[in-house]
Amino acid sequence: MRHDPIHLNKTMAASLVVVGAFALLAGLRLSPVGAIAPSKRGTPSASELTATVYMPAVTTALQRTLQSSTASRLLASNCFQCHGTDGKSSSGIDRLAGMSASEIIDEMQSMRVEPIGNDIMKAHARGYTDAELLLIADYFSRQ
Amino acid sequence: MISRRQFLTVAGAGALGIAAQRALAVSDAHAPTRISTRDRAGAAPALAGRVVVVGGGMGGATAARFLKLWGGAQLQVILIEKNLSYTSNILSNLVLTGQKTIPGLQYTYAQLQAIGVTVMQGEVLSINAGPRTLTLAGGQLVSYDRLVLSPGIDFDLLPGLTNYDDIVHAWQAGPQTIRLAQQLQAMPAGGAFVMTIPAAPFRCPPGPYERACVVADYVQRQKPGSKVIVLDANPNVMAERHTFETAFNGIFANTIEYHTGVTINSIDAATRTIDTSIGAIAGAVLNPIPPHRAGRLVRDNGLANVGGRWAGVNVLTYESTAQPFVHVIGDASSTTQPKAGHIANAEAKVCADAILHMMAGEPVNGAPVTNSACYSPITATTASWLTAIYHYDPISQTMKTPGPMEAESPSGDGFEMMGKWFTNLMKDSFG
Ligand SMILES: Cc1cc2nc3c(=O)[nH]c(=O)nc-3n(C[C@H](O)[C@H](O)[C@H](O)COP(=O)(O)OP(=O)(O)OC[C@H]3O[C@@H](n4cnc5c(N)ncnc54)[C@H](O)[C@@H]3O)c2cc1C
Repeated sequence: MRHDPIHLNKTMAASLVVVGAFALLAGLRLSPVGAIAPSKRGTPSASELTATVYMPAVTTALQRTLQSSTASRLLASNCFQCHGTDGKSSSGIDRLAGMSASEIIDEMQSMRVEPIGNDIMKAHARGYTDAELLLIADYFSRQ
Repeated sequence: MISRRQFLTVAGAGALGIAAQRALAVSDAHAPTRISTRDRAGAAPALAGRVVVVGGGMGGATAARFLKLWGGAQLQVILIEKNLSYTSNILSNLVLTGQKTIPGLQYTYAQLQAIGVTVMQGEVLSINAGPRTLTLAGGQLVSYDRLVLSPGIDFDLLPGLTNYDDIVHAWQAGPQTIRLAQQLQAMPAGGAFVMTIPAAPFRCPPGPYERACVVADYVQRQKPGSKVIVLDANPNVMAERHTFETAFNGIFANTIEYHTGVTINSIDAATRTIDTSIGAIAGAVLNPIPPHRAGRLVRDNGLANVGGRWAGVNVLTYESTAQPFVHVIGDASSTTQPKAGHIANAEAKVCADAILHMMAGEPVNGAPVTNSACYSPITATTASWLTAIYHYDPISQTMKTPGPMEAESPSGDGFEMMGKWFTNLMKDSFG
């Protein structure tokens, strides 16, 4: 059994985007934000929101992000410099466009706990919260 | 008050390209004028209007591209750039070693034009904030609803020098880079390459140390017995400390002499000597990197409200804290983020997204995230990297990072990744 905080399938990932957004808008406190560990029913409760990533004062900020209709696009645009605009890479770096949300989240979460070494993605994996990963993964899965 | 029609006549009489003239005329026919945009704010479709971007470098090209890609056909995006093409600073240290050429680092604006950005060649001299117009060097006026400035930096003239024609900084890639490469090639074996690093903030924090490394690697192979003398105004290496200190004390221990906390009194071009706080230092090649300040456009128009050098901005929108409707991104702005091209691209996207919401009368994203990534060549075949992810902190109202992360060691894989990263970064910025 893997030690990952979550292991998502595609449907769960998609529903988590919605559930995550809903939970945040409903004012769940996520400070510091970490892995969103879904229960067997796929609905995270406040006690299942466990902290793994340092992220100061992010609660209200994330709530405000979600008010913006373009939040997932803008977050995902952080990946464009290396992975190509909209994840359509043209230089041999992985193409993200069309990957499933669960694949992206799964990879990022595994990389987060692996030693960084010389792999820049392992550094990047540590830089985004789970709530942000959900939005980013959702965006690329729709490209 | 000058009417819209008169603006266009004035503009048409100047040196604008035919395409630009036509674009201005077309926009007039569709009447997305500033006044009507303001009156219609909030009504759908709200994104008719005109955003003018000045400076087609890393920040400005990206801003123009994403304003167009995200803003749609109704939004008129005009990019005004003084040069016909852009020369990338990124990887320009490899021109010194002969691994890259300046033409090979040049990018045109054709792809931006292809997606509907109106590109005008010209230099903007002043911003007329009241009527929201710009005056170009030829006297033309261009109006804007919102303005994005990404003019990059200017350099202080160091004491003793009258220009940077012979003693060059090469911190803006172009003719000076070629000149410095020639000087390095002509340097006799056993000569000294003396470079100076200004007090932070300067563009590309790892850049000067990267230059010291690639020049040291080059002279170790081509000019045996030569030295690279690095005179740093700062108390220590300003970025990727582990990587650079390991290189300076390891593979380049016999070549690089690194001095910290050094101030420059004056430079004598004739004798190629720098008078410093640690004595007079002569070299076969002098390469002083002078202190920077925001481009003149920012300073001449009352926008440099941080120490008289940099533009203060709200990092949710990059709107100037001195002047509404004017946004400043990239090296010219003062934020907690580094002055670097990869993050100028990220700032441009946050700015473009905010402008589109502002023009639509919607709230802007309250939690922007940006990231910086720099690959630094250390030798002709190895590179390391530095990266940091920034989140908006509503308490300090700044972009905050838990800290930059750097590669464990320079590697051949890193050098290969650097090329792939650069290709995608430039494509994401220029199309
Ligand atoms: C040697 C070196 C290596 C570097 N390596 C890296 C790296 O690995 N990674 C990284 O992220 N960054 C790197 N950088 C930094 C990077 O190049 C800059 O931070 C980046 O270019 C800043 O973008 P900008 O848009 O602010 O300015 P610039 O890219 O300088 O663009 C400014 C543009 O504005 C135009 N302009 C200015 N004033 C006017 C006017 N009044 N009217 C019309 N046009 C005007 C100029 O012609 C220019 O095209 C490096 C820099 C150097 C010098």
